[in-house]
Amino acid sequence: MTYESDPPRLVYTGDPEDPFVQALEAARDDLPNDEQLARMAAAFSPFGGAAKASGFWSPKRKLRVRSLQAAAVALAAAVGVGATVKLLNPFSFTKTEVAEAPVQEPGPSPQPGVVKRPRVTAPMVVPVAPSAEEPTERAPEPKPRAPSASASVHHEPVATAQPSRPSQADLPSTDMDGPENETALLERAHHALGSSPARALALTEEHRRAYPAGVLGQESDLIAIEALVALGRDGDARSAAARFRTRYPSSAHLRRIDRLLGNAAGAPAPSSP
Amino acid sequence: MSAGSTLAMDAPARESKRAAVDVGFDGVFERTAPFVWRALRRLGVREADVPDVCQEVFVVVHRRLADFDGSSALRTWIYGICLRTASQYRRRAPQLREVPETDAREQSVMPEQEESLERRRARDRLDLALQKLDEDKRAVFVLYELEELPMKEVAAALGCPLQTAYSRLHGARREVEEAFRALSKPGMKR
Repeated sequence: MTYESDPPRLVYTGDPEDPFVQALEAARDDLPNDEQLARMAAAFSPFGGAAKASGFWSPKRKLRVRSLQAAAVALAAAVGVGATVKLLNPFSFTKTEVAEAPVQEPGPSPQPGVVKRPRVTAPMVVPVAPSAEEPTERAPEPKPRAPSASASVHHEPVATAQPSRPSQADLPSTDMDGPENETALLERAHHALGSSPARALALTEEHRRAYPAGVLGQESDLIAIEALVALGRDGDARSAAARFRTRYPSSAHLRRIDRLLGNAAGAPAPSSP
Repeated sequence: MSAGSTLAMDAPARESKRAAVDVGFDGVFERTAPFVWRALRRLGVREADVPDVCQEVFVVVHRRLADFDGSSALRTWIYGICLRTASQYRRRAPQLREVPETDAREQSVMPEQEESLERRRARDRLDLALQKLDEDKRAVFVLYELEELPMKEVAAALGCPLQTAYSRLHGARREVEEAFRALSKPGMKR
Protein backbone atom coordinates (compact mmCIF):
# COMPACT_ATOMS: atom_id res chain seq x y z
CA MET A 1 0.00 0.00 0.00
CA THR A 2 1.38 3.39 -0.92
CA TYR A 3 0.18 6.80 0.10
CA GLU A 4 1.28 10.09 -1.32
CA SER A 5 0.53 11.54 2.09
CA ASP A 6 -1.19 10.43 5.23
CA PRO A 7 -4.76 9.33 4.61
CA PRO A 8 -7.49 11.56 6.02
CA ARG A 9 -8.46 10.61 9.52
CA LEU A 10 -11.76 8.89 10.05
CA VAL A 11 -12.98 11.46 12.49
CA TYR A 12 -12.74 14.18 9.86
CA THR A 13 -14.11 12.26 6.93
CA GLY A 14 -16.96 10.35 8.52
CA ASP A 15 -20.50 11.45 9.11
CA PRO A 16 -20.60 13.42 12.38
CA GLU A 17 -23.86 11.68 13.21
CA ASP A 18 -22.32 8.25 12.77
CA PRO A 19 -21.93 6.61 16.20
CA PHE A 20 -18.51 5.33 15.20
CA VAL A 21 -17.31 8.83 14.41
CA GLN A 22 -18.86 10.07 17.63
CA ALA A 23 -17.01 7.37 19.51
CA LEU A 24 -13.74 8.49 17.94
CA GLU A 25 -14.50 12.05 18.93
CA ALA A 26 -15.34 11.00 22.46
CA ALA A 27 -12.12 9.02 22.73
CA ARG A 28 -10.11 11.92 21.40
CA ASP A 29 -11.69 14.23 23.96
CA ASP A 30 -11.07 11.84 26.82
CA LEU A 31 -8.52 13.88 28.70
CA PRO A 32 -7.96 13.92 32.44
CA ASN A 33 -9.62 16.58 34.51
CA ASP A 34 -7.75 19.00 36.74
CA GLU A 35 -8.09 16.86 39.80
CA GLN A 36 -6.71 13.82 38.06
CA LEU A 37 -3.81 15.80 36.67
CA ALA A 38 -3.04 17.32 40.02
CA ARG A 39 -3.05 13.88 41.63
CA MET A 40 -0.78 12.59 38.95
CA ALA A 41 1.58 15.50 39.43
CA ALA A 42 1.59 14.88 43.16
CA ALA A 43 2.76 11.34 42.52
CA PHE A 44 6.08 12.71 41.38
CA SER A 45 7.11 14.21 44.66
CA PRO A 46 9.47 11.31 45.40
CA PHE A 47 11.79 12.49 42.71
CA GLY A 48 11.31 16.18 42.81
CA GLY A 49 8.94 16.81 39.99
CA ALA A 50 5.73 17.08 41.90
CA ALA A 51 5.91 20.47 43.44
CA LYS A 52 6.54 22.28 40.22
CA ALA A 53 4.43 20.03 38.14
CA SER A 54 1.41 20.36 40.34
CA GLY A 55 2.02 24.08 40.38
CA PHE A 56 1.13 24.06 36.74
CA TRP A 57 -2.49 23.84 37.72
CA SER A 58 -2.21 26.53 40.30
CA PRO A 59 -4.89 29.13 40.81
CA LYS A 60 -2.53 31.77 39.45
CA ARG A 61 -2.88 30.41 35.99
CA LYS A 62 -6.61 30.62 36.18
CA LEU A 63 -6.38 34.10 37.59
CA ARG A 64 -4.35 35.18 34.60
CA VAL A 65 -6.93 33.93 32.21
CA ARG A 66 -9.78 35.54 34.04
CA SER A 67 -7.79 38.72 34.23
CA LEU A 68 -7.21 38.67 30.55
CA GLN A 69 -10.87 38.15 29.82
CA ALA A 70 -11.77 41.08 31.97
CA ALA A 71 -9.18 43.19 30.21
CA ALA A 72 -10.69 42.24 26.90
CA VAL A 73 -14.12 43.15 28.19
CA ALA A 74 -12.93 46.55 29.30
CA LEU A 75 -11.14 47.23 26.07
CA ALA A 76 -14.10 46.12 24.05
CA ALA A 77 -16.24 48.56 25.92
CA ALA A 78 -13.77 51.30 25.14
CA VAL A 79 -13.04 50.75 21.48
CA GLY A 80 -15.85 48.63 20.18
CA VAL A 81 -16.07 45.04 19.18
CA GLY A 82 -14.62 45.26 15.72
CA ALA A 83 -11.54 47.13 16.80
CA THR A 84 -11.08 44.86 19.74
CA VAL A 85 -11.08 41.76 17.64
CA LYS A 86 -8.29 43.25 15.60
CA LEU A 87 -6.33 44.53 18.54
CA LEU A 88 -6.66 41.55 20.81
CA ASN A 89 -5.70 38.73 18.63
CA PRO A 90 -5.36 35.57 20.67
CA PHE A 91 -1.63 35.44 20.25
CA SER A 92 -0.52 38.93 21.02
CA PHE A 93 -0.51 38.98 24.81
CA THR A 94 2.65 38.75 26.79
CA LYS A 95 2.81 37.40 30.30
CA THR A 96 3.25 40.89 31.68
CA GLU A 97 0.19 42.15 29.94
CA VAL A 98 -1.80 39.31 31.33
CA ALA A 99 -0.56 39.78 34.85
CA GLU A 100 -1.38 43.44 34.81
CA ALA A 101 -4.90 43.05 33.56
CA PRO A 102 -7.79 43.57 35.92
CA VAL A 103 -9.54 40.58 37.34
CA GLN A 104 -12.76 39.02 36.32
CA GLU A 105 -14.77 36.94 38.70
CA PRO A 106 -13.40 33.45 38.63
CA GLY A 107 -15.65 30.65 37.59
CA PRO A 108 -15.26 26.97 37.02
CA SER A 109 -13.73 26.09 33.72
CA PRO A 110 -15.00 23.52 31.33
CA GLN A 111 -13.71 20.05 32.02
CA PRO A 112 -10.74 19.53 29.78
CA GLY A 113 -11.87 16.05 28.95
CA VAL A 114 -15.38 16.94 27.96
CA VAL A 115 -16.40 18.80 24.88
CA LYS A 116 -19.75 20.36 25.45
CA ARG A 117 -21.90 21.04 22.45
CA PRO A 118 -21.77 24.78 22.16
CA ARG A 119 -25.09 26.51 22.09
CA VAL A 120 -26.12 30.04 21.55
CA THR A 121 -26.59 31.61 24.90
CA ALA A 122 -28.24 34.60 26.34
CA PRO A 123 -25.99 37.59 26.97
CA MET A 124 -23.79 36.96 29.93
CA VAL A 125 -23.30 39.17 32.92
CA VAL A 126 -19.60 39.59 33.23
CA PRO A 127 -18.57 41.95 35.96
CA VAL A 128 -15.34 43.85 35.72
CA ALA A 129 -13.31 43.45 38.85
CA PRO A 130 -11.12 46.18 40.18
CA SER A 131 -8.16 44.24 41.53
CA ALA A 132 -5.64 41.82 40.14
CA GLU A 133 -4.88 40.35 43.51
CA GLU A 134 -8.08 38.56 44.21
CA PRO A 135 -7.54 34.89 44.94
CA THR A 136 -9.62 32.26 43.32
CA GLU A 137 -11.17 29.41 45.18
CA ARG A 138 -11.93 27.37 42.15
CA ALA A 139 -10.11 24.28 41.11
CA PRO A 140 -6.99 25.19 39.20
CA GLU A 141 -6.63 24.36 35.58
CA PRO A 142 -3.85 24.37 33.04
CA LYS A 143 -3.80 27.69 31.28
CA PRO A 144 -0.39 28.30 29.82
CA ARG A 145 -1.56 31.16 27.66
CA ALA A 146 -4.79 32.94 27.32
CA PRO A 147 -6.59 33.77 24.15
CA SER A 148 -8.21 37.11 24.30
CA ALA A 149 -9.83 38.34 21.17
CA SER A 150 -12.81 36.18 21.63
CA ALA A 151 -13.48 37.30 25.15
CA SER A 152 -14.15 40.78 24.01
CA VAL A 153 -16.81 39.91 21.53
CA HIS A 154 -19.28 38.15 23.68
CA HIS A 155 -18.74 39.87 26.93
CA GLU A 156 -18.59 43.41 25.76
CA PRO A 157 -22.23 44.45 25.73
CA VAL A 158 -22.91 43.40 29.28
CA ALA A 159 -19.66 44.48 30.80
CA THR A 160 -20.46 48.07 30.08
CA ALA A 161 -23.72 47.71 31.94
CA GLN A 162 -22.15 46.23 35.06
CA PRO A 163 -20.05 48.85 36.75
CA SER A 164 -20.13 47.22 40.15
CA ARG A 165 -19.21 43.74 41.05
CA PRO A 166 -21.77 41.30 42.39
CA SER A 167 -20.89 38.69 44.92
CA GLN A 168 -19.84 35.29 43.77
CA ALA A 169 -23.26 33.92 44.55
CA ASP A 170 -24.81 36.50 42.27
CA LEU A 171 -22.95 35.30 39.27
CA PRO A 172 -25.17 33.66 36.75
CA SER A 173 -24.54 30.10 35.79
CA THR A 174 -24.29 31.16 32.19
CA ASP A 175 -20.69 32.17 32.72
CA MET A 176 -17.90 29.67 32.38
CA ASP A 177 -19.83 26.82 33.86
CA GLY A 178 -22.87 27.32 31.71
CA PRO A 179 -23.42 26.36 28.09
CA GLU A 180 -20.26 26.97 26.22
CA ASN A 181 -20.17 30.00 23.96
CA GLU A 182 -18.01 30.74 20.99
CA THR A 183 -15.51 32.57 23.12
CA ALA A 184 -15.03 29.80 25.62
CA LEU A 185 -14.78 27.17 22.95
CA LEU A 186 -11.98 28.97 21.16
CA GLU A 187 -10.31 29.80 24.42
CA ARG A 188 -10.11 26.11 25.11
CA ALA A 189 -8.89 25.45 21.60
CA HIS A 190 -6.13 27.96 21.94
CA HIS A 191 -5.22 26.72 25.36
CA ALA A 192 -5.03 23.15 24.08
CA LEU A 193 -2.42 24.11 21.50
CA GLY A 194 0.34 23.76 24.06
CA SER A 195 -0.53 20.36 25.40
CA SER A 196 -2.63 18.74 22.72
CA PRO A 197 -2.68 20.23 19.26
CA ALA A 198 -4.93 17.40 18.14
CA ARG A 199 -7.48 18.47 20.68
CA ALA A 200 -7.10 22.09 19.66
CA LEU A 201 -7.82 21.05 16.11
CA ALA A 202 -10.85 19.08 17.19
CA LEU A 203 -12.18 22.07 19.07
CA THR A 204 -11.84 24.29 16.02
CA GLU A 205 -13.83 21.69 14.10
CA GLU A 206 -16.41 21.85 16.84
CA HIS A 207 -16.40 25.60 16.55
CA ARG A 208 -16.91 25.44 12.79
CA ARG A 209 -19.90 23.15 13.17
CA ALA A 210 -21.48 25.10 15.99
CA TYR A 211 -20.81 28.59 14.67
CA PRO A 212 -20.79 28.51 10.88
CA ALA A 213 -21.35 32.26 10.86
CA GLY A 214 -19.43 33.00 14.04
CA VAL A 215 -17.56 36.23 14.43
CA LEU A 216 -14.36 34.45 15.36
CA GLY A 217 -13.99 32.40 12.23
CA GLN A 218 -10.58 33.82 11.46
CA GLU A 219 -9.28 33.06 14.92
CA SER A 220 -10.65 29.56 14.72
CA ASP A 221 -8.95 28.96 11.39
CA LEU A 222 -5.73 30.39 12.72
CA ILE A 223 -5.76 28.05 15.69
CA ALA A 224 -6.47 25.15 13.36
CA ILE A 225 -3.50 26.03 11.18
CA GLU A 226 -1.25 26.34 14.20
CA ALA A 227 -2.46 22.98 15.44
CA LEU A 228 -1.80 21.35 12.09
CA VAL A 229 1.73 22.74 12.10
CA ALA A 230 2.25 21.46 15.64
CA LEU A 231 1.02 18.04 14.53
CA GLY A 232 3.51 17.99 11.71
CA ARG A 233 0.75 18.01 9.09
CA ASP A 234 2.43 20.62 6.96
CA GLY A 235 0.50 19.79 3.82
CA ASP A 236 -2.82 20.16 5.56
CA ALA A 237 -1.62 23.35 7.21
CA ARG A 238 -0.68 24.84 3.86
CA SER A 239 -4.01 23.87 2.36
CA ALA A 240 -5.82 25.44 5.27
CA ALA A 241 -3.66 28.53 4.94
CA ALA A 242 -4.53 28.79 1.27
CA ARG A 243 -8.21 28.61 2.09
CA PHE A 244 -7.72 31.23 4.77
CA ARG A 245 -5.93 33.52 2.32
CA THR A 246 -8.74 33.17 -0.19
CA ARG A 247 -11.40 33.79 2.40
CA TYR A 248 -9.66 36.63 4.23
CA PRO A 249 -7.24 38.23 1.77
CA SER A 250 -6.62 41.26 3.93
CA SER A 251 -6.54 39.58 7.31
CA ALA A 252 -4.01 40.74 9.84
CA HIS A 253 -3.41 37.11 10.69
CA LEU A 254 -1.84 36.33 7.34
CA ARG A 255 1.57 37.50 8.47
CA ARG A 256 1.47 35.14 11.40
CA ILE A 257 0.32 32.29 9.21
CA ASP A 258 3.22 32.95 6.87
CA ARG A 259 5.60 32.83 9.79
CA LEU A 260 4.04 29.61 11.04
CA LEU A 261 4.57 27.98 7.69
CA GLY A 262 8.05 29.34 7.24
CA ASN A 263 6.71 31.43 4.42
CA ALA A 264 8.10 34.77 5.48
CA ALA A 265 8.03 36.16 1.98
CA GLY A 266 4.30 35.85 2.04
CA ALA A 267 4.11 33.76 -1.08
CA PRO A 268 0.66 32.35 -1.52
CA ALA A 269 0.31 28.78 -0.47
CA PRO A 270 -0.92 26.30 -3.01
CA SER A 271 -4.57 26.82 -3.69
CA SER A 272 -7.02 24.33 -2.41
CA PRO A 273 -10.37 23.18 -3.70
CA MET B 1 14.79 4.37 11.82
CA SER B 2 16.05 4.62 8.31
CA ALA B 3 18.93 6.80 7.29
CA GLY B 4 16.58 8.82 5.17
CA SER B 5 14.26 9.63 7.97
CA THR B 6 17.18 10.46 10.22
CA LEU B 7 18.46 12.92 7.69
CA ALA B 8 15.02 14.39 7.27
CA MET B 9 14.78 14.86 11.00
CA ASP B 10 18.09 16.60 11.49
CA ALA B 11 16.75 20.08 12.08
CA PRO B 12 13.68 18.98 14.03
CA ALA B 13 15.89 16.66 16.02
CA ARG B 14 18.05 19.50 17.15
CA GLU B 15 14.96 21.48 18.04
CA SER B 16 13.45 18.51 19.75
CA LYS B 17 16.53 17.91 21.86
CA ARG B 18 16.86 21.59 22.64
CA ALA B 19 13.19 21.84 23.59
CA ALA B 20 13.52 18.93 25.97
CA VAL B 21 16.61 20.43 27.57
CA ASP B 22 15.02 23.84 27.83
CA VAL B 23 11.83 22.81 29.53
CA GLY B 24 13.28 20.03 31.67
CA PHE B 25 11.27 17.28 33.22
CA ASP B 26 8.65 19.53 34.74
CA GLY B 27 8.01 21.20 31.44
CA VAL B 28 7.81 17.91 29.63
CA PHE B 29 5.35 16.66 32.22
CA GLU B 30 3.21 19.74 31.91
CA ARG B 31 3.05 19.51 28.17
CA THR B 32 2.55 15.82 27.75
CA ALA B 33 0.71 14.46 30.77
CA PRO B 34 -2.80 14.90 29.32
CA PHE B 35 -2.05 13.09 26.10
CA VAL B 36 -0.06 10.39 27.87
CA TRP B 37 -3.14 9.79 29.97
CA ARG B 38 -5.42 9.62 26.96
CA ALA B 39 -3.12 7.36 24.99
CA LEU B 40 -2.80 4.95 27.89
CA ARG B 41 -6.56 4.71 28.22
CA ARG B 42 -6.97 3.77 24.57
CA LEU B 43 -4.03 1.39 24.78
CA GLY B 44 -5.96 -0.66 27.28
CA VAL B 45 -5.06 0.73 30.69
CA ARG B 46 -8.05 0.77 33.00
CA GLU B 47 -9.10 4.18 34.21
CA ALA B 48 -8.36 3.26 37.80
CA ASP B 49 -4.85 2.19 36.86
CA VAL B 50 -3.99 5.13 34.62
CA PRO B 51 -2.39 7.26 37.35
CA ASP B 52 -0.04 4.44 38.28
CA VAL B 53 0.83 3.60 34.71
CA CYS B 54 1.28 7.29 33.92
CA GLN B 55 3.69 7.44 36.77
CA GLU B 56 5.61 4.54 35.31
CA VAL B 57 5.81 6.36 32.00
CA PHE B 58 7.11 9.53 33.57
CA VAL B 59 9.56 7.70 35.76
CA VAL B 60 11.10 6.37 32.57
CA VAL B 61 10.96 9.83 31.02
CA HIS B 62 12.63 11.27 34.08
CA ARG B 63 15.38 8.71 34.01
CA ARG B 64 16.08 8.94 30.33
CA LEU B 65 15.34 12.52 29.44
CA ALA B 66 19.00 13.49 29.67
CA ASP B 67 19.81 10.77 27.15
CA PHE B 68 17.07 11.75 24.73
CA ASP B 69 18.97 12.25 21.50
CA GLY B 70 16.37 14.19 19.56
CA SER B 71 16.33 11.67 16.73
CA SER B 72 12.56 11.84 16.87
CA ALA B 73 10.10 14.39 18.13
CA LEU B 74 9.87 14.48 21.90
CA ARG B 75 6.25 13.43 21.85
CA THR B 76 7.08 10.51 19.56
CA TRP B 77 9.70 9.40 22.02
CA ILE B 78 7.21 9.64 24.86
CA TYR B 79 4.54 7.79 22.90
CA GLY B 80 7.07 5.04 22.37
CA ILE B 81 7.49 4.81 26.13
CA CYS B 82 3.69 4.75 26.49
CA LEU B 83 3.41 1.86 24.06
CA ARG B 84 5.99 -0.22 25.91
CA THR B 85 4.60 0.61 29.33
CA ALA B 86 1.02 -0.18 28.29
CA SER B 87 2.20 -3.42 26.74
CA GLN B 88 3.89 -4.41 29.99
CA TYR B 89 0.77 -3.47 31.88
CA ARG B 90 -1.43 -5.64 29.71
CA ARG B 91 0.91 -8.57 30.08
CA ARG B 92 0.94 -8.40 33.84
CA ALA B 93 -2.75 -7.67 34.20
CA PRO B 94 -4.46 -9.64 31.42
CA GLN B 95 -7.47 -10.31 33.58
CA LEU B 96 -8.24 -6.60 33.62
CA ARG B 97 -8.21 -6.05 29.92
CA GLU B 98 -11.72 -6.79 28.87
CA VAL B 99 -13.67 -4.91 31.50
CA PRO B 100 -14.58 -1.28 30.96
CA GLU B 101 -14.34 0.73 34.12
CA THR B 102 -18.02 1.46 34.58
CA ASP B 103 -21.23 0.47 32.99
CA ALA B 104 -22.61 3.76 31.84
CA ARG B 105 -25.98 2.24 31.08
CA GLU B 106 -26.59 1.63 34.75
CA GLN B 107 -26.01 5.19 35.80
CA SER B 108 -28.86 7.44 36.71
CA VAL B 109 -28.38 10.77 35.03
CA MET B 110 -30.00 14.12 34.65
CA PRO B 111 -31.28 15.01 31.16
CA GLU B 112 -28.44 17.46 30.61
CA GLN B 113 -25.96 14.69 31.26
CA GLU B 114 -27.48 12.47 28.63
CA GLU B 115 -25.19 13.66 25.89
CA SER B 116 -22.04 12.99 27.84
CA LEU B 117 -23.44 9.64 28.84
CA GLU B 118 -23.99 8.78 25.20
CA ARG B 119 -20.44 9.76 24.45
CA ARG B 120 -19.23 7.63 27.29
CA ARG B 121 -21.14 4.64 25.99
CA ALA B 122 -19.77 5.14 22.50
CA ARG B 123 -16.26 5.43 23.91
CA ASP B 124 -16.69 2.25 25.91
CA ARG B 125 -17.75 0.40 22.79
CA LEU B 126 -14.75 1.77 20.97
CA ASP B 127 -12.50 0.55 23.78
CA LEU B 128 -14.00 -2.90 23.47
CA ALA B 129 -13.46 -2.83 19.73
CA LEU B 130 -9.87 -1.74 20.23
CA GLN B 131 -9.29 -4.64 22.55
CA LYS B 132 -9.99 -7.00 19.70
CA LEU B 133 -7.01 -5.72 17.75
CA ASP B 134 -3.55 -7.13 18.05
CA GLU B 135 -1.08 -4.95 19.84
CA ASP B 136 0.63 -3.51 16.77
CA LYS B 137 -2.56 -2.57 14.97
CA ARG B 138 -4.00 -1.08 18.09
CA ALA B 139 -0.94 1.08 18.58
CA VAL B 140 -1.07 2.39 15.02
CA PHE B 141 -4.79 3.10 15.23
CA VAL B 142 -4.49 4.93 18.55
CA LEU B 143 -1.50 7.01 17.57
CA TYR B 144 -2.80 7.92 14.13
CA GLU B 145 -6.55 8.20 14.49
CA LEU B 146 -6.83 9.42 18.06
CA GLU B 147 -3.50 11.05 18.91
CA GLU B 148 -3.21 12.33 15.34
CA LEU B 149 0.48 11.75 14.91
CA PRO B 150 1.71 11.81 11.32
CA MET B 151 2.34 8.30 10.03
CA LYS B 152 6.06 8.96 9.93
CA GLU B 153 6.02 9.55 13.67
CA VAL B 154 3.76 6.57 14.26
CA ALA B 155 6.24 4.36 12.46
CA ALA B 156 9.08 5.90 14.46
CA ALA B 157 7.27 5.30 17.76
CA LEU B 158 6.68 1.69 16.82
CA GLY B 159 10.09 1.21 15.29
CA CYS B 160 8.63 -0.23 12.10
CA PRO B 161 8.89 0.75 8.42
CA LEU B 162 6.44 3.34 7.24
CA GLN B 163 4.72 0.99 4.81
CA THR B 164 4.21 -1.53 7.60
CA ALA B 165 2.54 1.16 9.65
CA TYR B 166 0.24 2.03 6.74
CA SER B 167 -0.63 -1.60 6.30
CA ARG B 168 -1.44 -2.00 9.99
CA LEU B 169 -3.57 1.12 9.90
CA HIS B 170 -5.54 -0.19 6.98
CA GLY B 171 -6.28 -3.43 8.77
CA ALA B 172 -6.95 -1.76 12.09
CA ARG B 173 -9.49 0.63 10.64
CA ARG B 174 -11.46 -2.17 9.11
CA GLU B 175 -11.36 -4.37 12.19
CA VAL B 176 -12.19 -1.61 14.67
CA GLU B 177 -15.13 -0.37 12.68
CA GLU B 178 -16.52 -3.86 12.17
CA ALA B 179 -16.15 -4.68 15.84
CA PHE B 180 -17.68 -1.37 16.89
CA ARG B 181 -20.71 -1.82 14.66
CA ALA B 182 -21.17 -5.36 15.87
CA LEU B 183 -21.06 -4.16 19.46
CA SER B 184 -23.57 -1.45 18.64
CA LYS B 185 -26.22 -3.91 17.56
CA PRO B 186 -29.07 -4.38 20.02
CA GLY B 187 -28.19 -6.97 22.61
CA MET B 188 -24.49 -6.81 21.73
CA LYS B 189 -23.46 -3.77 23.67
CA ARG B 190 -21.26 -5.70 26.05
